Amino acid sequence: MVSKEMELKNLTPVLADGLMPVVKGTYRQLLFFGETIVMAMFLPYLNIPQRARRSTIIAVIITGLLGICVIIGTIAVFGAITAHLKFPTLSLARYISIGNFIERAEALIILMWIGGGFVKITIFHYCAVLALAQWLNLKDYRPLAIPIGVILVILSIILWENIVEVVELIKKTLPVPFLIIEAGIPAVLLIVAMVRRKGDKG
Amino acid sequence: MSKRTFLIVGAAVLLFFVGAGCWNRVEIEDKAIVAGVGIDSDKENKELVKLTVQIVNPAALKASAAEGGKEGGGKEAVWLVTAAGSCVFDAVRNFTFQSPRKLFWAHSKVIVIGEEVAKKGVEKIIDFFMRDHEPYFRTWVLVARGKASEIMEAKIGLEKIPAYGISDLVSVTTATSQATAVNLKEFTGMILSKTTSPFTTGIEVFEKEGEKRLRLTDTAVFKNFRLKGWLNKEETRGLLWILGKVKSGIIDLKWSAKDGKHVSIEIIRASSRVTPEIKDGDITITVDISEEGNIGEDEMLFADFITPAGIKSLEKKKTEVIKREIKAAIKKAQEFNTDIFGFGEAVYRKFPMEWKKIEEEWEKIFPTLKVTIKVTAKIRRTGLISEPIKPE
Repeated sequence: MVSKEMELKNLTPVLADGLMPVVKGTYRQLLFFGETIVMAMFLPYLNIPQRARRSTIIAVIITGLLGICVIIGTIAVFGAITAHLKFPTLSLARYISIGNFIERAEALIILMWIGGGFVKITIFHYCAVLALAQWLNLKDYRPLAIPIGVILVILSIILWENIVEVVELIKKTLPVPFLIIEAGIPAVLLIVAMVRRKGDKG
Repeated sequence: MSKRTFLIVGAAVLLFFVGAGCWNRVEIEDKAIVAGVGIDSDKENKELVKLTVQIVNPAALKASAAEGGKEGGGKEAVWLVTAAGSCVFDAVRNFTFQSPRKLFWAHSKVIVIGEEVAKKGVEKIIDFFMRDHEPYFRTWVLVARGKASEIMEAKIGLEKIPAYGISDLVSVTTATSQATAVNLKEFTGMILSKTTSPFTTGIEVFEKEGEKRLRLTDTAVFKNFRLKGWLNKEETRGLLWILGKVKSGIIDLKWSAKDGKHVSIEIIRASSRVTPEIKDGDITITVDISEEGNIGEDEMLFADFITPAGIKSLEKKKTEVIKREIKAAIKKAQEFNTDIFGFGEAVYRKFPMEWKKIEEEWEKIFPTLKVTIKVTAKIRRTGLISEPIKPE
């Protein structure tokens, strides 16, 4: 909707500073894609577990492509300003103006973000409750839902004092522990499982 | 899914949409809608920012509509308010001492920067308008010749809200391509670039029949946040040619200096390509302009241009005029040492590796930069008549 404002030359030069900045950016972005691993929690509960792998891969690819489209659009419109924007997608939606009539689409973006955030928090909350229940060998996970929810709300208030801290945490601190949790532990589990199964067979 | 769970989920989703909207609503009667703002510095207290805003008076707009074009019951459509503060946001909040309603910026369409403030530097101003969530990136940025408050006080015929009139003035600059239209996003983009210098259109007050009126004038050129100088109309179009932003306009071919006869060409479309070249460490820029136009007016009664050869000679003349405009713009910019054309960015885009060495020296390179101009100008149509009107 802002294609009229796009200047594709904003996208060039490609790889001006070599490959390293791109790799660094990818490394950070991995965090968000790594979150797909929570889907593994649902694997035992699926009707057709065989299809899980395909759906997950398709979902990741679609999300990735959509993300790339949005980023290309934002950079083509805003150029160097993009780096200064806290919420580039929101700013992009604000910039939409078709015939001085269709304007200020940011409400849509906010609606989508709130909807998406709601779903995401729900899934993570569910996973946390489920994992705790399995860990404590409880028969039912439901009694844990409200206490964990309360803890989540409290943590969300006390963990960070301001938005700069949140951004700093995501940028600097989180990548290593998250990658260990998202990729390292599942990989170790997979290896253990494979070794054990071999042992069973042997 | 049983019927009961379905209902519960459905109700939850409905609540999610319906119940979320009202917690920090603000009624429209509690907002003072800002149409435009002028920024000056306060003379008495040197450091202070003085803002002059036009606040829309909805009651007057409604009244005048009901009366069918008559002045709205003596009421002005906008209310002019002035407030000062130590910084922009401080001044904005200080408006509440005079205005019973809090200012609402989302509908503000112009930011007029006073000449004095522009000369001192606009870094103090831009941050607020970028950071706050109410102002829009599409707000036009203008520089007043003189005081911004005078611009805000002046009127524009046909438009009830002068600030919106200014906004429309800027929008129709495409008709001449002799004034620039730069919005907040574009202005900030140019500030962020290390080499490109920002520019934006100027606006001035003039008096006619005892009434203060507004008109757009030259283009203000900035260097490192500070107003450096002005480009006149010809140079402005030269700038727009290079940027490829000429949309329409009239090219006036003064054919004979003696009797001042003209042939004017309407620009239909134009495009440009800037190609940097590095040879033995020397940078040259080639600007390719291709333009198409129609004959709009032919005063040359004695000469018949409506022949293939005549058109060719017109095209040649037009090429010269375009070249002259571009050269004038480049000369002025090199005098100011302001890279308003984004030549530095163009070099960076094409030669990112070499750029690292050049970047620091760009200040020294630009004033003597060699620019080759290539223009291809075509004339396509001649309007509704063919030969000029003259006695046979």
